[in-house]
Amino acid sequence: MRHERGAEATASALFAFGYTLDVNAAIRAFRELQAQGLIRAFALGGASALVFYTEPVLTYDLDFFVIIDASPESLVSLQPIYQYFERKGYQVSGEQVQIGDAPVQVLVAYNPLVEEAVRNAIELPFNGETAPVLSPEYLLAIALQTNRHKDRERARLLWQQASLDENRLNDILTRHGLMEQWNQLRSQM
Amino acid sequence: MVRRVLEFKEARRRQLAQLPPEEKLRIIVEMQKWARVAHIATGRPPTPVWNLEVLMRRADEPPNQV
Repeated sequence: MRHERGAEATASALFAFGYTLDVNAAIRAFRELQAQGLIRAFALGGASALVFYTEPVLTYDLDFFVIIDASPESLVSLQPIYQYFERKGYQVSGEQVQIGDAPVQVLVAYNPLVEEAVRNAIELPFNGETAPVLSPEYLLAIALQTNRHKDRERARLLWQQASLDENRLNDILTRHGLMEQWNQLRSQM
Repeated sequence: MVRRVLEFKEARRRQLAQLPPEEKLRIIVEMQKWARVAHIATGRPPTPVWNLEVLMRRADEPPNQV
């Protein structure tokens, strides 16, 4: 009980700023990109997507994964997307676009797993609207595939804190050849 | 004793995981501030923090638009 009271006090101290992060502006901008036909689908991924499933994890930008129509032999270019953002008056600096209050990173779905994850993103309520977010099972699979130290930590967090559909997770991991990495990580938990 | 500390930490982390995403983003801004302080204190280049001033005046004007 003492723990809960302590947590409440910390929470009220932390949330006494009175500001709102306008992530919705970023989501609306991506919906517009989709309506214009510049991207086929998009979803929030990376550490910023973890806020929907686990404790907060330090990050500096919002990662939006996008699927772009391109023939298999042509190179994928993000130029039209950045040009669109610039025309709309957003600041583009390097690979980042400042949309609303959020520095946004645009990442092309770079392999079949990420593409499948974006196609199967789920609409979750956020700040009075909804946002397409990678599901926790796909986030875990992508973390295993990327397999840096911080990715393994994220996979661990998702396993411990998110509500995962284990059948779905096993199906994804099996189809994308990630079972071995998963069993190895599980044995270390 | 160590077990109780670990259990307490684990309980707090589970509590944090249950917060709404909007609240977690606010916590991330606080984490960014601490990370920046730590970087400066140890002589490393300062890391970015999402702009609170811009966030505060968001209601009056759209931020970050040229």
